[in-house]
Amino acid sequence: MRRLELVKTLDPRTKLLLVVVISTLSIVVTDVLWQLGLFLFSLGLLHLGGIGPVKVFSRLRRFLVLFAAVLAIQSLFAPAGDPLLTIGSLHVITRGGLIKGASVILRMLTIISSAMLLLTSGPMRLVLGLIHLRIPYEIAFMVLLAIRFLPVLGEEVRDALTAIQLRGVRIKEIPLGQKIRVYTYIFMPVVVSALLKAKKTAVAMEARAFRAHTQRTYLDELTLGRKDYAIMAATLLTGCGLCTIYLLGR
Amino acid sequence: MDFWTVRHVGFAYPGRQPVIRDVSFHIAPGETVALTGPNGSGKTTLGKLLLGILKPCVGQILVEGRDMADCSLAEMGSKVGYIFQNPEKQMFAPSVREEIAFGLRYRGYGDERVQEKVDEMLDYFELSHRADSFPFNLSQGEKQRLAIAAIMALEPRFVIFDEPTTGLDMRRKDRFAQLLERTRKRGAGYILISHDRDFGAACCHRQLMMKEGKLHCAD
Repeated sequence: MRRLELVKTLDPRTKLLLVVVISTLSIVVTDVLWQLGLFLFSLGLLHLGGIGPVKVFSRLRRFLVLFAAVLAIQSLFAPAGDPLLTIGSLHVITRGGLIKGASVILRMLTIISSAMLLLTSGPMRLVLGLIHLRIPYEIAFMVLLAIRFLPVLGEEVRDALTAIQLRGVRIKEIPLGQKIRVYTYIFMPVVVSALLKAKKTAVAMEARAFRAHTQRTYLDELTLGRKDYAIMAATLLTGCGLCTIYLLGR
Repeated sequence: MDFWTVRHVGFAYPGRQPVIRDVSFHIAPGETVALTGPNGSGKTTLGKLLLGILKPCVGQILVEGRDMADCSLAEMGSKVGYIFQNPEKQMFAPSVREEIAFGLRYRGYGDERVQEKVDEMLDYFELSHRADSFPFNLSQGEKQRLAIAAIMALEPRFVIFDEPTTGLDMRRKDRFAQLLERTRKRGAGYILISHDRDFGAACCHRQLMMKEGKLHCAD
């Protein structure tokens, strides 16, 4: 319980720094073991913040197709090392290709899972954090809206897919060409609905005097505490240290 | 054989209290049923369960004797039409004409037949003047009529209307009652989800009353 409090009560700026450092490291390092270490570290941090591995993996499940495609593409177009599967003279799967694919997937996993750390802060605290980082309120508020509307967009896609199937279209059974045409239908209501929602939100915001005054006050205030400074310093030092060790060791 | 057989069905959205509790009933082919009850009583959820948009947590729903768990949405869609409470939820085509034609094309109708059917629907639902308009730009009443037209063009054997009279003026309400009559004469059945009990009683053989997720009376 206490560990949860520690991560949850961290200032969003501290979490942002953690995300930036972990993501940067995952881009700098290409070694698969380092990538794995970074991913496990992100998982550990999320666990401390109350987001357990089961929850993380259930969220990552939606990227499975993407990961499989990355693995196949890397293996096919960047062959290296011993061939594991050969068709004619073409090396379809090679050991090096698989390792490269795994490295790319681990990098994606690390970036996505480290970004989940921001979920342990409420959206409004995140906006406040961005404002304290001198990001204009309008931009920070747009980030908040994007977070707020992402699940709504997901729902729109599901609704369109349901409506199409309810007209008797057996999506799984129709040929690929028709399937692609059907999927293009899904984007129209999603885009239109996003635009309409944006328009309505803008009207509602202006009706509540958004941007009417240059000076804003906030109900909650953010202050960086000792533990925030300590974690920020440790993150920067560790990040720079790991980067140096990795680059020198190559 | 009953069209729908609902046996001890219960449903709860993830992490929430049950919305539907131990509901059982039968609906015969061609029957017209009003599903009434106050807001939040579970009418829409039950409608979605009957179509397979939602799956029951407990109990079983049979369609023409077949377990609905084995039916795909497309299969259900080819038998039953569903008019959403919010018509925008079922629009996805770039024009009114295309919205009506979509389902007909996927059923293998020829171009000429599709055109004929679309024109008939546009005329009946007084949408001819908006045939080439973008569906999202229509008024609320027009959107509702388009949603009904797109489903009725497919001549489903059963139609579930979710709060179809919301936002309709008296003239349109009468016109909608005529449409229900036409549907009945075609031999198709329908379920009218509505909190307007009088309209339900006037247009349906039978009323099912929902309250707090339970079926309170079936007369």
